[in-house]
Amino acid sequence: MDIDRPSDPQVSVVSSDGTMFHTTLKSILLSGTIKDMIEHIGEGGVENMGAIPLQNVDSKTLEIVIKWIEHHKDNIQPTSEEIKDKTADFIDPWDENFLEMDLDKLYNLITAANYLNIPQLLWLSTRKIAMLIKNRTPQEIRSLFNIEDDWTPQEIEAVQKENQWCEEK
Amino acid sequence: MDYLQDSSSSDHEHIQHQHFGFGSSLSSLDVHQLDFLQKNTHINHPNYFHHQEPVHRNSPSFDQGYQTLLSSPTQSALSNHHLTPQVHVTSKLVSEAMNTVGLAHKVANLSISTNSLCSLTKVGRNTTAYMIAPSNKSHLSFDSLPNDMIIKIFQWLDTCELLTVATVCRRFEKLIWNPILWKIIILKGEEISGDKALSCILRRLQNESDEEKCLNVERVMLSEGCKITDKGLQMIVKACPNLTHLQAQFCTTFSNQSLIEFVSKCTNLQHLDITGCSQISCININPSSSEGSRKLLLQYIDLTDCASLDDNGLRLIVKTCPLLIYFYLRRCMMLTDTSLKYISKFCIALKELSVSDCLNVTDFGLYELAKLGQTLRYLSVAKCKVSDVGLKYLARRCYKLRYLNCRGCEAISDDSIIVLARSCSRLRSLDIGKTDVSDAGLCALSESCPNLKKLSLKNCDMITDEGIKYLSYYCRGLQLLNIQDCNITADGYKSIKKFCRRCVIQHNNLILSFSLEDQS
Repeated sequence: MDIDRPSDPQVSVVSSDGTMFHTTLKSILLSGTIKDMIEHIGEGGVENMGAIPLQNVDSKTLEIVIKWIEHHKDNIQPTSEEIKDKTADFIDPWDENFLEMDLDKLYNLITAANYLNIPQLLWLSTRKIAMLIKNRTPQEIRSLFNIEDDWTPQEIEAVQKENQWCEEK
Repeated sequence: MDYLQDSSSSDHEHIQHQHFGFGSSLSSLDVHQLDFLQKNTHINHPNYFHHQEPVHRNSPSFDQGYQTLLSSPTQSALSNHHLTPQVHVTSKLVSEAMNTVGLAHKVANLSISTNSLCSLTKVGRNTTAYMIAPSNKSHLSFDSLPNDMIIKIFQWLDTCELLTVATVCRRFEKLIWNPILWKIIILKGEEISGDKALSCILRRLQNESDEEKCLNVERVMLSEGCKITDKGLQMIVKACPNLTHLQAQFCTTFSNQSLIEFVSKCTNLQHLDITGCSQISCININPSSSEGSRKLLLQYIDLTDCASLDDNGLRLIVKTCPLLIYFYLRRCMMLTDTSLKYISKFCIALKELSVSDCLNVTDFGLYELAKLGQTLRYLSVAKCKVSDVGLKYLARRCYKLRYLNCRGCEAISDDSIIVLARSCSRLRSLDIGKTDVSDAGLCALSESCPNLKKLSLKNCDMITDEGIKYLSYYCRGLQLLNIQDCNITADGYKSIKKFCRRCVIQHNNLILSFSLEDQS
């Protein structure tokens, strides 16, 4: 399919809670999942196809994802292989700003980016959470992410003992 | 999306086809999930990801991708309220579909989550008509993320951070030992015993993967005073056959013997940094009788401060490492021009070489290095006994040099810098501190090397404001200029400020500081 055609047709997607969003083909093709699906329909299918249902993405998250893909539609997207080797040297300030959202939204965004197969967005959103983990104590991590401490005192002692060499003195 | 909307047909093959359409679109699944998809094309579905019930820790079903099939009773009951009368059709469709691929016996044992059913309805019958609200809208927490997403997050953490995360909860403790997270082991700091840490990590990885070797470990990087002994090196040899990078600095107890065993067994090794391992005098994997028969793949060797290294040891190293591209021999005091002769003879791909502070290197060494010709891009001969004659000879042949450091070579003057400027016009970084270069040399550089980004003129007392003005006018891309201990006044300083706007100026002249304040 010629995805570089000058006109950029409109495409509609429907979130899990039934909200319809309109975007362009160029943007939506950043999603590997949808790209594969559209390639599967083949030439000419795009004009005739109806709204694409995305049962795993709710409307709030889909809105965020669409904002991101529309901003990045003209950028060359790295493949997931390339992303593996990529380090966090430089993050586009727009992206940095874009990711300023509460944790619930971030979790949903990660799940959606994975489902829709948008490697760059997955890379950015997982990095964002990892940056929150860095330089925090276990207790801080638990309270920040609302994680239950399910260790018994004996167990935690055993784990700490095993990794003792890493403790800062 | 015709195929999703065209739905009235309950033809089995048709359904099957649709599901394959979706299945193929899920390229982000990992291997075992894909495997599962192929085996269970009818049941599985994008809804795999829609699973919103809290993940049960230590649930083996999770990793195997069965959770869409194992719905909790409460969730089924809840979702039942949302189900339209269409559901019996769905069940019928599903069971028919199942029959076609002989999966019906599985249905008897597993209750299919209503979510899956609903999606099947949608795929099979109509795209948008039967949107069902998610059954579980509760507050999300970290726990709701699937394991592979959490691992993706953990991939950003280094070794010590992973071990901190391990103590957060049981699920994390289990997850951090996924081999994917252990490609690079980084240990930093004097307080860490490298041997002990490595032994803990490698043993645990072996237990988790049920394999004798840690095949995923590719890099072991020890720094900031974290040291290992021969014992640690032997552990790496045993456990990490796929190692490509080792950094073990200032491990003063390393013996030649254990290093030789290491490099001959870790055959994928490309990068070796053993700065300051003062006992190392040679890396030779060939017994003396069959000298030169076996080669190593090493491309990067840093032997800075390996004071025991001599010309003969170096000869054996370069003979066994013909692929060397980066070679650093700073402060290996025993090396002489003979070593440089071996380097240019055997390492024909060499791009970067540093022999800074190797005080026995002279112009004869530069004659030898000149044989490397245009492949050489980076050279440091700081404080070596080289003069204009040697540098002129080298500059004419290694004309693609981008970096040159000849700081403290006091026999270097305008004579060779003018030749250097004219032949090596690609120079980006140059250090001519404490040499006899004057304004004439600086003018030649300004005119011929427009790409110059970094320049150090520290302690060049023959350079005046005139030269600096010339330089700043021509080399406007300068990013860093060192004029410490030079006779530069506010006049020259202002000129740099004016033309090289992005340039950081390093100086130690108080008067300049005042003039800067005046300006601002």
